[in-house]
Amino acid sequence: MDDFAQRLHDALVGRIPPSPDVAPLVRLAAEAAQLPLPEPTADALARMRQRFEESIRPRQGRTLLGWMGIGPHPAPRAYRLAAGLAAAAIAFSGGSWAAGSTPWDAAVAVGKFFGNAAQSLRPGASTGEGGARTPEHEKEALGTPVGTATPTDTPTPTHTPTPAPTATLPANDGVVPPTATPDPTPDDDEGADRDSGEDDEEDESHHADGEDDS
Amino acid sequence: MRAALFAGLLAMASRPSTGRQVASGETLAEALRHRDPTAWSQIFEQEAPKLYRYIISRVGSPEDAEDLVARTFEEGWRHAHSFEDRGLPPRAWLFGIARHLTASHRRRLFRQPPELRIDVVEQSAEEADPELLDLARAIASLPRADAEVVMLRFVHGLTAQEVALVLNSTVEAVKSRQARALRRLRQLLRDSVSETATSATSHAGGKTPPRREQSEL
Repeated sequence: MDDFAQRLHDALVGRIPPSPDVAPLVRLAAEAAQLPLPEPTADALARMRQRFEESIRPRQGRTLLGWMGIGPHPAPRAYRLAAGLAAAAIAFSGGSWAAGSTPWDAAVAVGKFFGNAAQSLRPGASTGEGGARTPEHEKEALGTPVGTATPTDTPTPTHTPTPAPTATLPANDGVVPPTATPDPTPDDDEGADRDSGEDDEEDESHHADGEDDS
Repeated sequence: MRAALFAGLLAMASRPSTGRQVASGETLAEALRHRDPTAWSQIFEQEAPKLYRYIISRVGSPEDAEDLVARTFEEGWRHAHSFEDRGLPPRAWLFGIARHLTASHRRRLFRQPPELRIDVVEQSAEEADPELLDLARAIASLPRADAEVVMLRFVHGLTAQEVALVLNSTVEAVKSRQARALRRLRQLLRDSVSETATSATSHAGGKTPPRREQSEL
């Protein structure tokens, strides 16, 4: 800090008389102290005082928010924990007696409920449609075991999709591998449709003969 | 279950008392830290008007100023345990709380409320003293850090030590800043006087004495 700042400060607090170089600044500071600013009215002071007194007034008992740790007068954490345990004990006792069982049975039932809920919400335990669906429900709905691929049991050429170039055909001895052009059979009309045009022409000629005959 | 119930009832019954009598040897700072209602009422009567003047000079609205003053004391009460007795009046600590609350009050586009609102000064002046209004405009046009020191130190009457506590700075830094701020203030007023004299001369075509003599500055 330079000497000027120290001399100015000493002059401002009245420790030393102001020197010629700091005197104008001391006058300026004195003028700034005269700046008019609003004062609070009596009503405003009363309102502020009342609000503050309400916030610091000792209470006979803590509010519910205080026991939850919220507000200007939160209960200490240990007290809140003890109060929570007491409330839980009362709730268990009352509920279990009303249900005709013991508090221990009620606690076990609650634990089972949460365990079942956690199990049901586990990924893969359901189809994601919400709610717990048992594997039996899945099988009934889809007709196939859950979690397994669905191979075609009786493949037919019409229902066999064209395999992708990089697809790996499953090795299954009991299933006829799909082919792009199945072997034609004489009595197989569908296979004849896919064959070359000779048979078509032959058919057309038969039809034509038939028409001519008639 | 019975043991937990008993523990809960025991905890509820043994909560500490919030009110206490001020001991004969207890300082005001200790009484405030212990949340003594009498001490807090005393400090409220002493500092509430000063805090109100400080806050309203920045926010402008009387309703907002009332709200912030009340919140300042509520915050102080809530964090009374953190009040440290550094040999200074508690008002520096309360001004620090008020400064923090005011800075975050209705912040627009990341800008804090100004250090001084001119309209507040204009409304408060019983007679339109042009010199004081010029001074207020000059203070408002200072850089924020300089204006803050001028307002806290000279307008609101805090000592250099108290200003250092409010600004979380050192006394030496406050002395340097107040010297720089007053120099800038003086220069601004000189420039303002020069501009007034120049414009008056050009309009009137003759000499017009300025409101503030340059020799005074």
